[in-house]
Amino acid sequence: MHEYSLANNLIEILREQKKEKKAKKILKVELDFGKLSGAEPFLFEEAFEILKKETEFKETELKINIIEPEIKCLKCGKIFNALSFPFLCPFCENFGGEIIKGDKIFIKSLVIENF
Amino acid sequence: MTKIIKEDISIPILKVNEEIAQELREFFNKRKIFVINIISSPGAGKTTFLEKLLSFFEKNKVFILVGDIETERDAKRIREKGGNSYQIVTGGTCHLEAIMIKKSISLIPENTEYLFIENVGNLVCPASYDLGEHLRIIMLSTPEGDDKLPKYPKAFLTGDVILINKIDLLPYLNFDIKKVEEEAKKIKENIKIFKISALKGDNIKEVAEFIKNKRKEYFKT
Repeated sequence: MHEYSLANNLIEILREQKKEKKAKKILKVELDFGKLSGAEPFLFEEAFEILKKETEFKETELKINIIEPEIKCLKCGKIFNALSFPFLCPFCENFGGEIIKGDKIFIKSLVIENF
Repeated sequence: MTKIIKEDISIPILKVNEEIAQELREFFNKRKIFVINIISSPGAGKTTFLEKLLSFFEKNKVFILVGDIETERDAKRIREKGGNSYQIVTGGTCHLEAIMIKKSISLIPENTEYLFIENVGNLVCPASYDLGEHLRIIMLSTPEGDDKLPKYPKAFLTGDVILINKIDLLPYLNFDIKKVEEEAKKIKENIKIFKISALKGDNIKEVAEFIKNKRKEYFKT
């Protein structure tokens, strides 16, 4: 349950970006939220809604894109989607594999209002 | 006249933690301190394991940072066994972050070769936070049940070593140790597994040797 901690990180990054881009307002923030990030999107949303009230981002809208995991097979090198553990390569039926996408949360874009 | 524009930025939400972890790793490398991050559920036996492990190291070369939500108990337990330990009280935070380690590095004595970080008891959140470690140990204990791996895959995916603790209790439990080993290999082919009893001391020496060899390997000049 570290969604509050993550939402706090988001607010810190918004502050940094607002200053850097000399923005008047940040109207919208878009996240790429990996399914294997270890955090829950709906809890994150709730945390952000609560925390933003105390900041200059009261009106900032949050958009979350859920990113499906992409796994690279260590045996045949092909990339596949996996939703269950352990990862099973559908091409060569080898177990395991390396996550190449969908295990992190990225701040993808901002919609800003300039002076 | 205001202007509304969309900007693509692609910044990881844990950017700050990643930067500090990298900075820590560089600091540890310069000082040749080998860092081990230990993650498990509460009560799996991390502190007992570290107490036992200490006896296979020169005590003045080991420093232990312990993360807990409240109390100094675990660090005190390690100090009573002659170990050098400092408690990080997180005050409600369910994991350790790189910044908490950074605030404590001034406490690490000059001749330290091994830094063990006993993370907050939690198999979920600590998995997402790089602490600048060189080796990540995930511990599970037999009374927790044999379905921990599929339930908490992220922790095991990020681990280098799995310790199955409390094997002395196997005769009393319905714990399929073979199944756990097979599942671990399927999740991560090259993961190293040790079956230990921290309380009785079974196979702790082997874990100590493994860690020492890993340090040698990492810092070979």
